[in-house]
Amino acid sequence: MSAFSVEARGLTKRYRVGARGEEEFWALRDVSFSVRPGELLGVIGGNGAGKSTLLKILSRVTRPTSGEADLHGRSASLLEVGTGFHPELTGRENIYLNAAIHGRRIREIDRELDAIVAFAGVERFLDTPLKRYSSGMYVRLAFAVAAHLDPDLLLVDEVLAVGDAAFQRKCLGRVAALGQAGGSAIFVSHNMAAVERLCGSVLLLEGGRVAAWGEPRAIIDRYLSAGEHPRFACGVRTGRPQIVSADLRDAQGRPKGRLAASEPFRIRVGYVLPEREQSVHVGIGVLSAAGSPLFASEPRDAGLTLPGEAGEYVAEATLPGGVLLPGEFLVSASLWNEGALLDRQEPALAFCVDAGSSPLAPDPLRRRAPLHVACGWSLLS
Amino acid sequence: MRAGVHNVRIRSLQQPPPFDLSELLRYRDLIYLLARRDLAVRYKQTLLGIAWAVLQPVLAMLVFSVVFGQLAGLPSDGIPYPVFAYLGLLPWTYAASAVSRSASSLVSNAPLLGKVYFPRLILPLAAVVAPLVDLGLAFLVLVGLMAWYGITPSASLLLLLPLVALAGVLALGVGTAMAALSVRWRDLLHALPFLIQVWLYATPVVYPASLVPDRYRLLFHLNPMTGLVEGFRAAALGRPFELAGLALTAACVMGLLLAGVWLFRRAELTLSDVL
Repeated sequence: MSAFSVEARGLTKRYRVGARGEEEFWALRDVSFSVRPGELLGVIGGNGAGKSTLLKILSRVTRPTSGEADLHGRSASLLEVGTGFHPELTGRENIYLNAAIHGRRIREIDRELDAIVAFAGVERFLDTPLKRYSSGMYVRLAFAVAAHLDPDLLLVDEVLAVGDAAFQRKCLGRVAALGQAGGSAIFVSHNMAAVERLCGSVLLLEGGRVAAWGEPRAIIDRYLSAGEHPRFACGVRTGRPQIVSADLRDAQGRPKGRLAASEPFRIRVGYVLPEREQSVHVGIGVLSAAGSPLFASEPRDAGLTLPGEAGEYVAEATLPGGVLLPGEFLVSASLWNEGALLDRQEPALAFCVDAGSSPLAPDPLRRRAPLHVACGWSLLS
Repeated sequence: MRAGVHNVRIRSLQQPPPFDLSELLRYRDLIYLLARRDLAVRYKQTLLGIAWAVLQPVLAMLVFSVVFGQLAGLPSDGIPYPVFAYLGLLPWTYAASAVSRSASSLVSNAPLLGKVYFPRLILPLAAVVAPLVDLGLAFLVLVGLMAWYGITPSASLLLLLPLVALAGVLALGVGTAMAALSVRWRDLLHALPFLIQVWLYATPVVYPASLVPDRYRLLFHLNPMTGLVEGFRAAALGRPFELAGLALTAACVMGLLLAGVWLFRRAELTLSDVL
């Protein structure tokens, strides 16, 4: 057995972009790291940092432009949930096909079938075409197959963003068990709580380069404090009533990318009225990472009526701390009059809430709901 | 170490890595499962289902018998024209379907190719295997058709098996070449139905090879389908084989396979970045 299950040396990936491939884009530059057997490595970084390219190279979907990596053991990639699933085929047929795509023999799958089906909880639908599955069942089946391939190396890309909390817990348990059995995992996630809890080390990528590699807490802190500032700015002015900007600020009005759960914050929405409107309303909606609406708010709620004269405006909502629990959220912005919706940006913003010093929910998986409403409690009998 | 564990070195490459037959063999179950997926998806939600496998060559045989056998009065080497045409259509329908399926196998599986590694050659291989089932069913009709015309099959019928294998290798060669080229030039996939149509008339399916003037014979036999169709008729009816023609066919098929796989493995290097 080798000392490492993954050893990457100077991985570099250049893509040619543009209509005729005349421009170069360096998705990864000189990335080196290693993973020991039994170790779980978390990979974090902003959008475009190269996380997905790294997984693509390690799962052998694409080749690096230069550099090399050694993999010891058999790997199972999980680049996206349900790779190779076909909607017309039944759950059973898809299990076999999916496992075979990952290099398993039919008799190996025969042995694991019951465990896969039980893990996914789809016993009753095994011979139903996949197109009749709910999205939750689909995701559960996909993870179940991947987790039961008995991999030495599991590559996980954000699958935990989907599925309900109970299933997420089950998946994390499976990943942790893999580590105890001497397998390794590379875990790309925005879920900092899960990364910190599961991973023995963390690789932080910035612009395709390794910005830091080592002990999770320090690197996650560094990443969070440097967090980019999410903002929306419209590309094209349509000449009609339109939302033109949105961003996130802290209680002092400074641009902010990440929030601590306890801290109040503000959301600004800029909009333009090219002509006078009879009545106009602007509003924000806060959505879970999966896109389900959590709550909405508009100036009218606070007794504020917006002017209808032509012009450019910025409205600001102030939100209390302690409402959003650690996790990812989306913000939608809408503009409408009494008759019709004039514009809607959904999502206009995406942002993260971190546990910070909040006593609330250090483990987001224990609380299923993304919102916290302060309730009074007393013991009656 | 557990069974199936293997070490992999990931590198940048300018040339395809050495051909790895053992890896291909490890994935052989995937060929079977993909071929089964192909068949299942093709015939699910159709009224007649798998009957289409038989209907296609049978309907073509009927049309050809009326148009070329009756109206045009084409000769058929003394064989009843429907049997003659059907014997040509059997290898032809298989090869045409296997070529067009394997040619589009990379483009139509693009989402899969961007997500997970497996030996890419599995895709055209599965596409060549799947229509063998249709061929097997269509073969049953041949037995009935020959009985109807009072033709007793001879033991040489068994020679159909190596001929089918040769047709499969031919389809794989042409299919891999087309698949490799179509990654960059999708136009090929649009031109393919037309090319296959031309290929049909360059092959003695509706007319006998004896109709071709002698000076074109060598050129005619450079089309490997010619030797295959002639071989099919000879094997089914117990007639003598034209061995020289068959040898030339086999040589052409091997050449096509080598060229196809060479092109395919070069295309493989940059596949997921291009698709």
